[in-house]
Amino acid sequence: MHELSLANGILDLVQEYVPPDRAWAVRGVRVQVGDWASVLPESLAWCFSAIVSSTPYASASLVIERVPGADLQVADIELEEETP
Amino acid sequence: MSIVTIERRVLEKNDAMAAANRQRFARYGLTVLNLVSSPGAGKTTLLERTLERLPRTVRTAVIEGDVQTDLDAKRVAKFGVPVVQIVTNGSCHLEAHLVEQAIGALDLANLDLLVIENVGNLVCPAAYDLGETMKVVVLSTTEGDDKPLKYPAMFRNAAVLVINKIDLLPFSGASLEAIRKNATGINPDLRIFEVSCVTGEGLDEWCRWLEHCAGYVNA
Repeated sequence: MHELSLANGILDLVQEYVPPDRAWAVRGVRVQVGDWASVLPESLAWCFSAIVSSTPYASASLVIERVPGADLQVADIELEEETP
Repeated sequence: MSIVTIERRVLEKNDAMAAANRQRFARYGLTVLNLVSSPGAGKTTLLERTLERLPRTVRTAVIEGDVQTDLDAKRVAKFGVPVVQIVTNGSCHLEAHLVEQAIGALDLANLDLLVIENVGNLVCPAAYDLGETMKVVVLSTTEGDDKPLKYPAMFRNAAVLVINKIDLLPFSGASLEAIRKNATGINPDLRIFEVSCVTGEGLDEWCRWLEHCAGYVNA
């Protein structure tokens, strides 16, 4: 049930590293979801796509990796090189 | 394509606020319990029976977290302890910043024990550190003895398990032995209490332990 607020937290981190004028370049946002993190990956991906759709980061989508442990971490962001 | 490395926890803001809360509690030597369970397991009733029994020397305050209403705060306030209600307005768990706001209304220097009753939910509250000393998970026998297996994160993160409604064991078909086995299979270090808030069974032992935690009794 808390995936929406987690998706917002992920977008906050993305915005911190990629300014809005480069937002179009964001592709995959690799997120590591711990097996004990109490997070439903499909729900998190859906929430993320829903919140970015009305922002300049609409091209971003989550690439989710299951990992051991309880952490939920943004690993890295994949950026398109060329101008659109 | 290029890759920007981030490697940061999504909940780092919550965790930083929780760490600040924990430091503040430690400064006042305060024991803080984060009371979690599914809805209806009996958190508030356990709290009521506990407040009846705890000696007044253990200066206690309560933070109540609910999705809606201040019904629980009203129940607890009858016992003459300071109580702050947090209404989450739909959110399914408490977060550290909500607790930080709530403790602004409490005189921490004149408290020994703070009980934070989380929103009834065995999933999301497991992921949010509030700065508590420990999580106490309440499981009622009517929920079935397989709950620890179905919600492992909560039982893994808790230090204490209170098995409530043991008076209903003859009707629920649950087995205390199975609850213990399933819970300790996930977390061997769990301290377990078996109580009934109706008959009072087990409550004295629970309250003695709480007194000890609050620094009043030598174990």
